[in-house]
Amino acid sequence: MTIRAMRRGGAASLVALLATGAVHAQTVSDRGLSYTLYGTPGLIDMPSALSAKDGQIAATMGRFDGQVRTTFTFQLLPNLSGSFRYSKIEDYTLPGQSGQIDDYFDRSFDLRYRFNDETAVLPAFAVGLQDFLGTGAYSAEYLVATKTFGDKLRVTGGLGWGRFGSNGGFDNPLGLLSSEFDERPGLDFGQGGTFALDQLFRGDAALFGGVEYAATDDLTLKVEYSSDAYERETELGLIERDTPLNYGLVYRPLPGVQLGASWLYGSELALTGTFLIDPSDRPFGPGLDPAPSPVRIRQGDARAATTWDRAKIPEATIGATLQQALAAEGVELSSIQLSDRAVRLRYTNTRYRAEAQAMGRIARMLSLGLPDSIERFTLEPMQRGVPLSAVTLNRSDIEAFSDTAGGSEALSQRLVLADAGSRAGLVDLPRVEDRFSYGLAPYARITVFNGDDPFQVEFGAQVSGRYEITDSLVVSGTLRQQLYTNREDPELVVAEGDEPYPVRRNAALYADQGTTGIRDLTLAHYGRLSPDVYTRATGGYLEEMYGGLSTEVLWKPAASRLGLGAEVNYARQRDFDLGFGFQDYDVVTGHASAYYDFDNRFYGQLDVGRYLAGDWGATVTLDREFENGWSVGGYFTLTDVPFEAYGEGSFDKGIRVSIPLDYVLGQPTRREAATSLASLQRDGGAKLRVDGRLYEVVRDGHLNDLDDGWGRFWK
Amino acid sequence: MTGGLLGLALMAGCSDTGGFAGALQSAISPLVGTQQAAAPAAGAGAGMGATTGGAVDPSTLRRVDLNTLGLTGTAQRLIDNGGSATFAGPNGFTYTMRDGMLVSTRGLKDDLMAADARQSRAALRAGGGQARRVHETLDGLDRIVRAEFDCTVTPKGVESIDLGQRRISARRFDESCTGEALIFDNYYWLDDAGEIVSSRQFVSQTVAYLRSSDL
Repeated sequence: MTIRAMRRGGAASLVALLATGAVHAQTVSDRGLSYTLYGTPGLIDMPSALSAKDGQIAATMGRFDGQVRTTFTFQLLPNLSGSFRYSKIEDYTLPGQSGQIDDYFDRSFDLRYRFNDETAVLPAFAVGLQDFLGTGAYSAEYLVATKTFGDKLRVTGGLGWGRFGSNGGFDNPLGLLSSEFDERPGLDFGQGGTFALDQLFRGDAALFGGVEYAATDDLTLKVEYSSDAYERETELGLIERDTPLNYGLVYRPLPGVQLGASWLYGSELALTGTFLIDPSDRPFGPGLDPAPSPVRIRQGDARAATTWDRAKIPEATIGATLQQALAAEGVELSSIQLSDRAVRLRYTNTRYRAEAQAMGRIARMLSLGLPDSIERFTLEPMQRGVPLSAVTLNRSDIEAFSDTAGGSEALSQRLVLADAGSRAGLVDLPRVEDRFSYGLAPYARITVFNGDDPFQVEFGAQVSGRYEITDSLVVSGTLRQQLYTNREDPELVVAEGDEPYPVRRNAALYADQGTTGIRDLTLAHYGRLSPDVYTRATGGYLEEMYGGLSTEVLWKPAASRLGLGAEVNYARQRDFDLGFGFQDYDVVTGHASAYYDFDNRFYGQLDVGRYLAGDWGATVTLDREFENGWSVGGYFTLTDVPFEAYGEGSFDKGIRVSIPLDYVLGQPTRREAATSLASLQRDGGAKLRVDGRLYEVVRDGHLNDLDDGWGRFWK
Repeated sequence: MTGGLLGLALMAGCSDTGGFAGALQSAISPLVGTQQAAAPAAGAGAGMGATTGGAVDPSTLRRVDLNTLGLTGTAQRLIDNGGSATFAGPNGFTYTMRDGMLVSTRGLKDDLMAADARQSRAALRAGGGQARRVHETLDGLDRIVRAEFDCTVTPKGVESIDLGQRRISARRFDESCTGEALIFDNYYWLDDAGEIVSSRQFVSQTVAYLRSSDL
């Protein structure tokens, strides 16, 4: 589907080139794929050159004698995958460190790039970097080839460095290029989390390989020769490694579930479980949406009418009736402009994730009831009281293209997308929806990856309320009551040495002392300065830890890929008890932001500015978004806080996932579940959290989001 | 949705001018009526008069059956657009027939989003022949998926069929369609005027066939 009328010239970018260059139909690669103990496609402990289906997310838990590895692998592009891993190793210490600690927790990150598709004669080749950002406990690099023979047999062979070069290692062949490759320097990981560039492909290399045999469609048998000597684990007496040969099997009881067992190194039993999620494979398919109303096609010369009799059908009747009719579709009609040949509506879609689907439903209603002379429908979707864009459709096209093969595409090419028009001419309709709304819901907060206390949970109930003074001026708040937490008494964190002020590290104190409290209580105003410039001002208790005033302005034309924004906030740290009080710490924080939509499902954002601790720096965010609303992405922030002062992880970075709830429920809803997976909350590069930042509010009605959802116009 | 539409219909009913509200009402009230009456209509398996208290023109009703989903009952015409008409069946699903050919369904999850069956219709009119048809469905990424089918329409002689209130003799045709990943067979019964009075037509892979007959 392309809303082509508004397409601007293609912008070539690195990501775009990467994506288009990489889009080759994968024929055999993802068939019968199974996962390693590291949660990557491969053998048992050793990787293969294969890729999963594009966009697939695999969650794997692998466990053997004292090691638990939990890994999320995302197929970022057809040829590129990324893995994020959280591991526990009992009684482990990093090489070079002495003294045993009880449990060692480690985060690691991998990338794998597959160079080619497997052909009849040529194997697939791939290069991988394992644990190249973390503390290096699992760090390894590899070049690997995999070839499938017939329906049953698959053979993998590779060359490994680092951990994968530790058994049967020989002089690094890359030493021919430069003697620098001969030695792998000891890892000075500092606070961890930095790119260990000087280690990659250094030191001894070793060969590994294996064979997979698909005994049945559901069962795969594997044997591998591992080049990982488990040097450190053996040295600490954690693992007994008698042989480099590993044997395993993988069973697939259900689609999307893999269970594996293997016998490692002649001494250890290992178990794995993998759950696969494919964002493009919606459990309820196209969705359980109730049928829309039909389209009425004007007959004969009715189409030629140039006016209608206002005595018979007063404009006021049209507005009021439409408002009622659209309410049945979860569409709140705010204002209307009628003329002999055209109608313009401003409305808020509260039900459908895709604005295009709401538009389809509105267009059907309009075709049913509007006087025959009205030929042009201009729909201006609003969110938070602000019009986002204007989509103009011809009634004749609605009549011609409904239930017609090629109709969705044809309509998308004939519509006109523009910035929303001015207020002039619009007649406000009396509000019918309640101004006040509230909800009671449970909440849960899970904090993982905290070095000392890796799994903290908190459950409770919250009441949220909202009063709309006008469409664009809203008071809202959330009151929370904690019911359970496993946190132990946290201590007040104070800055030591050149550490930044603890702007976030005392999060546990809020959970501990704010068992009953105000999570947020704000007055927010949204506005539009010009057709493509939006504003927001939010004041009050903005988030759990900060209150103050947040102001934002965004330039984002409806048909532009680029958005530019600026945000300035005054924030003051709240009391730990989540009451009305404040602490002494305050800061002026804010960013200039650029948003870019790369048109290949990637969205980039760059924020440059001052963070909560007063540190200056920038955040880079890149998300891959699916047409159906799924989004998987990552971000990192570098500021003038030195890595040592930042502490564990060296700088702020993370992975985030957002799942539209209609994907899960099958019923239309605008809600989504979002979570950040990898952030370890510290003080450098910390941002103020404000609800309803403009870009996310505005983009639903803009070019790419409309285009993505366009297939739902007639649903 | 039903509640809202009912409200709309009631409000529109207060207006004696007809006009806009009347137009919306006449289009939507059957939808409301059908949804109210869907359960008894489906349960009793009867058709006539089960929908509303007033007299219903039998030409606006269809006997409908979605075997796979277990939906059987009476469908009521929501709108007549001349060449095409949309009907609402039990549980509020709708389907649209263009000159007797199924061109879309809604409310069935894996809906037929749109179809081009003009060549098949022409083949029926010509007494048989080859036809190419196009079906569109929606995938998990909200993209329209287009599938083309090569079809053969074959006359199967005259059969006596039961249309609920009456029994007529009709010419039967079978249409065998083959696509890239799908094969299906549609059946049609045409009356003397060449109109399709009963049919079994393919919707989508999970919904399979929709049977619709005049009453």
